[in-house]
Amino acid sequence: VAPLEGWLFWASVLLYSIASISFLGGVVFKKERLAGYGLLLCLAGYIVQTAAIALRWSITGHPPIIGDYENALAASWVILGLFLVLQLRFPALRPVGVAVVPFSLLMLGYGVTRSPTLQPLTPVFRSPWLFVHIGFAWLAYGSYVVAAGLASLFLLKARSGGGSAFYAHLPSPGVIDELSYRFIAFGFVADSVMMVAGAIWANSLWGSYWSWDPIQTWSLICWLVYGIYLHLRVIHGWRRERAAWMAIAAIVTVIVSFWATNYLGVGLHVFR
Amino acid sequence: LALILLGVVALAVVLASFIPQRGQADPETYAAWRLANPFLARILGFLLLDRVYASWWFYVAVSLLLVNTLACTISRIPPLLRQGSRWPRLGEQQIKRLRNWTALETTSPAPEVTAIVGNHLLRRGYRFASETVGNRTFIFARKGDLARWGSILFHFSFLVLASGALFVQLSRYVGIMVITEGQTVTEQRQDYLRTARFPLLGVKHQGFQVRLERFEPTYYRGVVGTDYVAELVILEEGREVRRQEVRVNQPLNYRGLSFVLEKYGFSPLFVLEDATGRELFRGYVNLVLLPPGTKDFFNIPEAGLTVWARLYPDLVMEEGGPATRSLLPRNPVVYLEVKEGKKEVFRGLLPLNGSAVLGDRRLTFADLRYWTQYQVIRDPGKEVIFGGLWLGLIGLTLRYLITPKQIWGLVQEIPRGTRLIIGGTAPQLDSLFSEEFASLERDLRKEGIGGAP
Repeated sequence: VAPLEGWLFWASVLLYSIASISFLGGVVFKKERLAGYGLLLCLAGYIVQTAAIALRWSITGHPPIIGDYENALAASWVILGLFLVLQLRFPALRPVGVAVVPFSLLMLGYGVTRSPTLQPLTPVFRSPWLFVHIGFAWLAYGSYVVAAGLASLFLLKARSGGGSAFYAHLPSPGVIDELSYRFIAFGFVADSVMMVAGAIWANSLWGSYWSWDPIQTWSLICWLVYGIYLHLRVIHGWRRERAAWMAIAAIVTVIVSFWATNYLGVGLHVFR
Repeated sequence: LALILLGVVALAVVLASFIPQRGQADPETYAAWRLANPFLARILGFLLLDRVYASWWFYVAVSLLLVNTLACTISRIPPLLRQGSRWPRLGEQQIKRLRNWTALETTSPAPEVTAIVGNHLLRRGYRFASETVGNRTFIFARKGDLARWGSILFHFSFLVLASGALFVQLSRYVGIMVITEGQTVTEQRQDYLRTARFPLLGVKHQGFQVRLERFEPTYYRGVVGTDYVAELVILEEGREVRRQEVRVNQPLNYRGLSFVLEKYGFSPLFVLEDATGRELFRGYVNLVLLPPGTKDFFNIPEAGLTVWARLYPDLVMEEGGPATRSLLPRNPVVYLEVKEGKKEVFRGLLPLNGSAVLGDRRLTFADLRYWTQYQVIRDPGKEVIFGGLWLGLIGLTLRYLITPKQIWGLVQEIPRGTRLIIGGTAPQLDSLFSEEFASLERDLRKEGIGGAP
């Protein structure tokens, strides 16, 4: 890693860490101001992280898509970007940060323990489909994480019984529930684009649309699980608590797809 | 049922991701796992859980899911068609049962109120209709109708994909072809290294020729590959008809066949001569010598020799022995171990054009070229698969990124003017729709319906 990029990376980690503590403090002690500080720190961290990504991109000549470190860097950036966009439309939803920011922080922590070495774009990555595939993967998984954050907030608000002023400032549980659904629906569309682009890319790279490699398989499981969520919601009328618990539980499939299968280091997605 | 079948398929895929799958896991790893867990392997084998994707019950579950999808898709079309042409009227009590509704009064006459409401709804992208029955005017507006068709398209895409997959099973051919620099091969059965996938409908080879003009890898710092370019020439009856650079993600497509660059390696030229200088063997040998240090062998049956080779493309002598500076063949040297039967007759390094003396014979490392390996794919089902994929994406986008909304109103003349009862709904997103409805109400109040907001 270039020295300046390292400084920027660790500065963003520091800012996100303090932001996580602020969000957590805000939710635990029901202090809206703390959640407000959390958002400002998150925004500052985001600007610094953007600079780190831009610097890395300018050095390597390609977007951060190679290896666990670059994927963690970019995926956490997309997740936090979606969270910040949500703040523009619904400023009262600051406390969603209590789930989203620590999650992104964990991603960055995992990424930096893997190899952050600067690498050129290898031949397998030289495909326009790659950018569609990876870009939509980030959007999909980012949306699922934000949806899980919203679902957590829904449960907190639903359980508060409306007695606390902190929760009273939040949008109604119905709005939070529907926003969580919207993020999952958007994520599902992005997830599908990711899989289609991946299949087309795989066909030109490996000569096969689908190979049941561990990452493909777990991406399919993730897609099926969110498909079941949408089916339950749209056809069987699952709402509120049940839907929120499922949105939170389904995030396990994202974690397995993104981390565990990479960690095992087997399959076609391990490009050597 | 769809939910249960989806659950079964998801569970099967989860199980298959944990249980080593025959034909997919590395054969040695799979064999070792079976040896280590004989009882478990037998049970899983009996349940076909060691080959889930080829098991009859997985095919049955997927087929049932498809039949279910087909039935659901077909059954949804008539109501949708009816809904499209129907503009249902809702009375006052029905509107009041909607989650979002309001009642507004104004001194303006009923036709003017209807026109104002209509204008606002049209401006917001709604399709608007009104019907006057006696002294009551029923208003109906809706938008996002395409979302309902999205679901149909999405489910229909599964059927297109399934048809495509079946067609691919019947017609897809995948052969493996290896071509060395300067070599010309013919698109015929005997010039393939092997067939990776043979179509049920059989295959007809086309007989054109392919020549590898050159192969050029580019490395970052001499070791990390950044580009692999193979220049292929297509010949028809000896005449050049196409010349194209093929890269990892850029196959050559010709007469329905795709040449997908898969692997490459070094191909040293070895020449074996007897004491009189007569050539006993001459040939480029495609060996797997990458990454550097990898050992491979070949036989020269005419001379009863087995030759083990290791290549240092850019030799440098280090304390631990020979090594390579880069993967580029700047100073290629082969390390050879030659055996005649069980007896070793030579062991040592051989530079380019260097010779090894094997008793009264001489083995020369005369040249070094690249070999390249291609998957040659005939894929007539591609268009159907692509069609299904795009159809599915369009369907999903319509279904989930467009929100269907409906608004009903009832305009009634009352003694001091007109009364408007208006309500609306957005299935799945009623809470978020409340904001839009409140904004509509504000706009109507600004127009003097119901007074100032």
